[in-house]
Amino acid sequence: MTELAELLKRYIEEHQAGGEADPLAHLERVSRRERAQLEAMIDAYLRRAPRREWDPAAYERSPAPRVVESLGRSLAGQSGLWPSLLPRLRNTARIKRSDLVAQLADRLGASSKRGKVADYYNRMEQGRLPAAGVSDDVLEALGKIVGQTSEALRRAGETVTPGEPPASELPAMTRVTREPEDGSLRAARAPGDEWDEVDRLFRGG
Amino acid sequence: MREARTAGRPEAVKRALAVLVFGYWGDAMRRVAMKVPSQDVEDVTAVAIEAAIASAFDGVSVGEFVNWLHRIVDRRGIADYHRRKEGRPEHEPLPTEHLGEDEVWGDEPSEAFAGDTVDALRALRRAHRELRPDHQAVVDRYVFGPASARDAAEGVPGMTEANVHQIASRFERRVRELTGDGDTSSGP
Repeated sequence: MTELAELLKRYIEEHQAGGEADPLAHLERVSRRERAQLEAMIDAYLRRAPRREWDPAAYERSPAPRVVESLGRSLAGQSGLWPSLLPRLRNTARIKRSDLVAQLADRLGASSKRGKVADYYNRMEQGRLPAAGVSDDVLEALGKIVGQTSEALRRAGETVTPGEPPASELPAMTRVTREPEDGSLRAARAPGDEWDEVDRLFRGG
Repeated sequence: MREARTAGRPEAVKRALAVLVFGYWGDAMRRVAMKVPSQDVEDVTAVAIEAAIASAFDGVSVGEFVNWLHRIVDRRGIADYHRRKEGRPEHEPLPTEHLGEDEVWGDEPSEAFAGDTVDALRALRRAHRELRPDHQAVVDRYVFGPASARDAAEGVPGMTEANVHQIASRFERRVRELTGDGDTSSGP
């Protein structure tokens, strides 16, 4: 057996024994060209490695609970992967939510309605705003703040087929996604419930 | 998981998600760690796993999920990370009609990987494809699996321990030929 095969064997043994199996520690032991080959071999092995068996204590120590929490919101909500993606982008951009909302309101020309923008943005992060209703203008403005394209944000919002929670569990505003072209929805609204520009930006599609 | 979601049982969905995320998190992160700077590994892994699970939710079976996950790790995780760094647009979503393909060596590596690794991955794929099925089984069990030469031989009809060593050596030599590295000596 060659040295590379021996190294791969040792890696597999460590991995299957439940060790850390950090590939970088193994790759450091070989030359650059051999590194590429060993990396490919480890990669091929990891692609087919069996799923790790459930271990509640190890689960709690891992980053997995955070992912599960945000995925759970995404799958239960109306906003695709935004509950997972938006907080992460905000953290990566090192921007506080209040600052993001202020910038978003400014970019949308809605500085005087920052509270309303904040409410809508919060619903996006919580998965409580139907993604289809959020306009490209909002996604472009948001994307510029967090360093993401509007297309990628749109795609994330549409990644999960929205769940169908009972209507009684939905806030009234989330039952509506787009304004029908015939204006029937507008006619059905209660008096005093007229949409303004911010509503149209976040719910009008 | 899909049934639990349809039935409106969020706790059951969450439990299933926990098993799935925990089960694949470590290996997905190890793969990402070989291609992405350490400070970004956790985020890239999370993005890929979330995207894989969410997009698989609409129709990928359990058997298909592992291949699907690793393809998403390649494209939406690792490759898109490097494309963003280079100011290039991210990949379009993978077409779900290809989900049924059982490609154990995964998707073609992205152009975003380091060049030497692309060569090595392609060489591995080609060298593996060139083998007869029983020799492929030996390589799968002995080179890419935990089996000893004796165990690998016992699992393949007509195979001896000596054959296993020969097949493994020829496989490694062929990979080196394909990567343009005829020199089989090793060392740092």
